[in-house]
Amino acid sequence: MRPLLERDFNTCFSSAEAPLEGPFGESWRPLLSLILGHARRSGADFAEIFLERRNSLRVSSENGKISSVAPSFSLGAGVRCFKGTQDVFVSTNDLSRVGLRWAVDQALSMLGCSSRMTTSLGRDVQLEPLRDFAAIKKKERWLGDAAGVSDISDRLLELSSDLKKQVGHLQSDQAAAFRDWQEVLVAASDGVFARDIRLHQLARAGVNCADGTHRTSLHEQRASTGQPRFLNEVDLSPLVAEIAASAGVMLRADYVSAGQYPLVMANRFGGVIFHEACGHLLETTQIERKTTPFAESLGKPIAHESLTAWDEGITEGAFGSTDMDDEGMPAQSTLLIENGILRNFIADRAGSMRFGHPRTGSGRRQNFSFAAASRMRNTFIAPGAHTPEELIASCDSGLYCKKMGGGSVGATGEFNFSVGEAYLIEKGKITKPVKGATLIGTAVDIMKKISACANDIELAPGFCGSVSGTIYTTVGQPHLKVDNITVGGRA
Amino acid sequence: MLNPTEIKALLSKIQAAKPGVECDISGSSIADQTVKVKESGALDQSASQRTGVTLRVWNSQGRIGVVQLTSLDLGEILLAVDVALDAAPLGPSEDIPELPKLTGGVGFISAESPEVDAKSVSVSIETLGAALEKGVSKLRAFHSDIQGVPYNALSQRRVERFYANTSGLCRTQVSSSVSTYLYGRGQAEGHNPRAAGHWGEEYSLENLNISEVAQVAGSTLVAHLRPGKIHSGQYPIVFSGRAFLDLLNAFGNLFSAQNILDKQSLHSKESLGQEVASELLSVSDDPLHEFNIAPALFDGEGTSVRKTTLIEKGVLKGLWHHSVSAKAFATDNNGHARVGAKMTVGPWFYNVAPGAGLGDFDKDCIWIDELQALHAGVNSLQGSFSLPFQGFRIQNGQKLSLESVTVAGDILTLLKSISALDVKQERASGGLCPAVAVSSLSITCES
Repeated sequence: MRPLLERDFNTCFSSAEAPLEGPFGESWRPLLSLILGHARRSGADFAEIFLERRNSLRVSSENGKISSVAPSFSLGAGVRCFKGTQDVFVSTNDLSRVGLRWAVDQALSMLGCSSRMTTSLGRDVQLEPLRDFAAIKKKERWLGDAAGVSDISDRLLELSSDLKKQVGHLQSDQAAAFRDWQEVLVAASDGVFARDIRLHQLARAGVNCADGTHRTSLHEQRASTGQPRFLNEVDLSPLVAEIAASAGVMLRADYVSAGQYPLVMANRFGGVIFHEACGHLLETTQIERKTTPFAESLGKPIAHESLTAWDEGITEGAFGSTDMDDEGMPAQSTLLIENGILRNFIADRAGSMRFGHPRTGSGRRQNFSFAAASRMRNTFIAPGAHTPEELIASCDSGLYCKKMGGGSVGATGEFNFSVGEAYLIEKGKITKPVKGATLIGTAVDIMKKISACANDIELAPGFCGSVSGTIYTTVGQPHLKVDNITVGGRA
Repeated sequence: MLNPTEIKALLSKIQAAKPGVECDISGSSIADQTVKVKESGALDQSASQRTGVTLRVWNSQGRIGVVQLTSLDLGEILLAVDVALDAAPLGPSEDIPELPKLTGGVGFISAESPEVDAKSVSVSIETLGAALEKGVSKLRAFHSDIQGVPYNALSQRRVERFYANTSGLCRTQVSSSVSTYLYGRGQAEGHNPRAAGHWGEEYSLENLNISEVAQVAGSTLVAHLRPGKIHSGQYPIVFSGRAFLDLLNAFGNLFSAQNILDKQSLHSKESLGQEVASELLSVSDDPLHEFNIAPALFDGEGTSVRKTTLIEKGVLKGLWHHSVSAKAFATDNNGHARVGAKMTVGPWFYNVAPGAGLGDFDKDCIWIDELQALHAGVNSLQGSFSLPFQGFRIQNGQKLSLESVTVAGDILTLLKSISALDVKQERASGGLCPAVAVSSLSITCES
C-alpha cells in the first residue's frame, strides 16, 4: 500500500488524453471507457466517474454599496468503486489523465484490488449512447443568458434602496445574489453515460433593526433552478414587503414562554419540519447507519392518517429539481407517505444495492469531492381539505409559527427547529408576536401529531447539509396543525 | 508539493504574461484520507487531493478583483487574472485592501518562508482502518446497552498553505494532523435511544489515543442512557468548556472588527475599553498555543498570526483584525484575515483563562455538556439563543441525565452574569476553556 497521496506518474493512459478543453461529452468517452475498464479488470464490481465543472458568481451589497463581486471556477472528478457492497471514493481536481489515473488507482488500492493496466490496455467498458440532458433541454446557452455582474449589482442596489424606504429602525441591510452554473458528466461501468447542465440562482435580502435595546434581524430569499433570466426578472417587491412587515412586528416582540403548545405552522418554509423530522429518516443512508426508526416500517403507518408526503425532482424551476441525479438517473417523483402509510424510501445506488429499495433518482452531492448519497430534492406534505383559518380557529390557546428558521435531527431521531416569526393563538385568533421559540421533539411522535392539513400548499427554497455536503432543496407544505409540541423559550 | 520556488516562479510567469499587473495569490493544497466503520462492520474509505486558490488583482485605479479557482495551472491563473480585472471596476470602491508590501514598520512581514516540519509520518489507509476498528470495537463493548457507533471517522490530512504576491512576498507552510470522532448510540430498557460521543486530534496517529476517545465516548453515552425529566424554569447553569466555546464562537461578531464596521455586531467601536462581561472572564486568541494542532502561521494576507487579548477581566480589549479594519481602527493588524471577495476575520484558537473554581455550582446546577443545533438556534445579530443541549441536572450529589431540553438566553446578559470558572481548562477543537458557571438561565424540558 502506498503512503498518503504519493503520486504515481505512470503514463499508461497516454493513448487516451483527457480532453480538458470544451464541454463534457463524447470527447471523454475513450478515456472514461478505458478507466472504467481498468477498474473492472482490476477487481472492482462496479466503478463510476463523476466529472464536474463549475462557474459561479456571487455579488453582495451592504448598506447600499456593492461590497463584493466573487467569481469562482472549479473543476474536479470523483471516482467511486464497489466490490461487493464495499465501496471507496476518491476525489481530485486534477482532470489530466495522470490525475484521473491516480484517483482510480488510489480507489482500487483502498478496495484491495491490484491495478492491472501497466502493459495491456485490454477491453474498455462499453458506455451507452450519451444521454445529454443539456442538449435535449437546450441548456448550452444558460450561462451566457444569465444575468451579468452589472445587472445583478443594479438589482441589489435597488433592493437595498427599497429596504431603506420600507423598513423601520433599520440599522443595516444586506443583499446578495448568486448564480451557480454546473456541468456534470457521469460514466459508470454498467454503461451509464449522461451529461447535464444545472443553473441555480438566488436573491436574498436581510436587515438588522434596532431601537434602544430592542433588536431583530430577518432575511428572505427567492431562488430558482434552470431559469437563466431569473435574476433579471424575479419580482423582489414582495420580498421587501414581507421583511418590512415582519421587522415592524418582531422588533418589540416578547420572548415566548416555554411549554407545551398546540401549534399551527404556516406553509412554504414550514415544510422544514417534515424535511428534518421525517425526510432525513427516509433516506437509505440512515438505514445503513441504523439511525432511523422507520427501517422496517415499509407499508406500515408512521404518521397521522391525514398526512401524505412526496419527494420529487421534477417541479419546473424548483430549487431541488434536477433532470438527472448525480449518478446519471433521470429525476422522478417519489411517494413517501400515503395517508400515514410509509410507501417508499429515498434511495441512491448504494442504498438500493445494500437494502433492495428501488433507486429514486436521489443520488446527490455538493460537488465532486463528495460521494453521492440518498438525499431529498423537493420534499413536501400534500394539501388537505381545510382552510388555514379553520386550523387556527381550532386552537383555544396555541402558537402560530409563521416563519421557520433552520433545524436538525440527531442520531436518535430527536429534532429541533428555530422559529423566526411566531404569534400566540388565543381563543382561535392570532394575537401578539413572540420570539425566541425552538421546537423540539422526536420524529416518531411528531409525525403522529400532525392532525390536519390545509389546502394552501406552497414551496420554499433552501439548503440541506448532510453526508454528501450542502445541496439545493425545496421544502413545502400547506398550513398544518400539530396537536402538541414542546416549545423551548424563556421560563 | 508546493514550495516557495515554484510559487515565486508562478508569479514571475504571471508578471511576464501580464506586465504591470499587481496581484497576490493564496490558498492551500490539501490531501486527506478518511476511514469510517459502517454498522455492518465494513470500512468506508475515501481520499481526496484538492487545491483552493484565491487570486486578487489590483487594476490601475487601485480597484480590486477577486477570483477563486481550484487550480495552479498557469493558463487558468492567467484567465482568472483577466476575469479579476474585468470584475475590479464593478466591485467595491471603498475600504480596498492594499497589496501587502515587503516593508518594515507595523505589521512587517518576513519574506522568509517559515519552515514547519510536518510532524507526522503518514500511514497507510489499512493502518488507519485497523486503528479505527479498534476504537469502534472498544466503544461498542463499553456497555451492553450500546447498540452501535453510527457516526465515526479517522482522518489524516496534509495541508500546504501559501501566500505570495508581486511585491516579492512569499510564504508557505506545511502541516499535518490526524483526527477522529466516535459517536455511539445506545438504549436502556424503558428509555428512548440516546447518542453521545467524543473526538480527538493530534499531529500523528502515533500520538492519537483512540482508546481514550472511545473510553470517554462510552462513559458519556452510558451516563445519558437513563434520562429523567425536570420542570421548566430558571436554573443555575454550568457550561462545559466545549459548550461555552461553541456558544462564544456562534456569537463571533462580538470580536469581529469587520462586523463592527459593517454594523453587524452586538458591539460597536465604543465598546472597546468597556466592561462587556463579568470581571472573572478573560479571553484571548492564541493561534500558536501548543494545543492548537496544525496552526496557521500566517493569515490570508500573509500577515503573521499573533496572540490577541480579546477580553481582560471583563473589559473588551481587542478585536480580530485584517489590514483594512486595523487601519479603520487605527491599530495594529493582528493577522486574522480570511481572504475572499470580501475580506473577513475569524478566530484561530480561543484561550479562556481558568478561574478559582466552580464553588457550589457543581453541587446544584444544570450541567451543559454539549450544545446542539447552533446553526439554527442562535440569532447572532439579536444576541439571543434557544438551543437544545445534552446535559445533566446535578443536585444533592445526584446526576440525572436530561432529554429533550433547551437552554435560552441573551449572550450579552450571559457574559455579564458569569459567576465562576473552573480551575482546569478543557481542550476543545477550537481552543481551551474551563467550565463556566452562570447564575441563571431558562431551561425548557419536554413534559
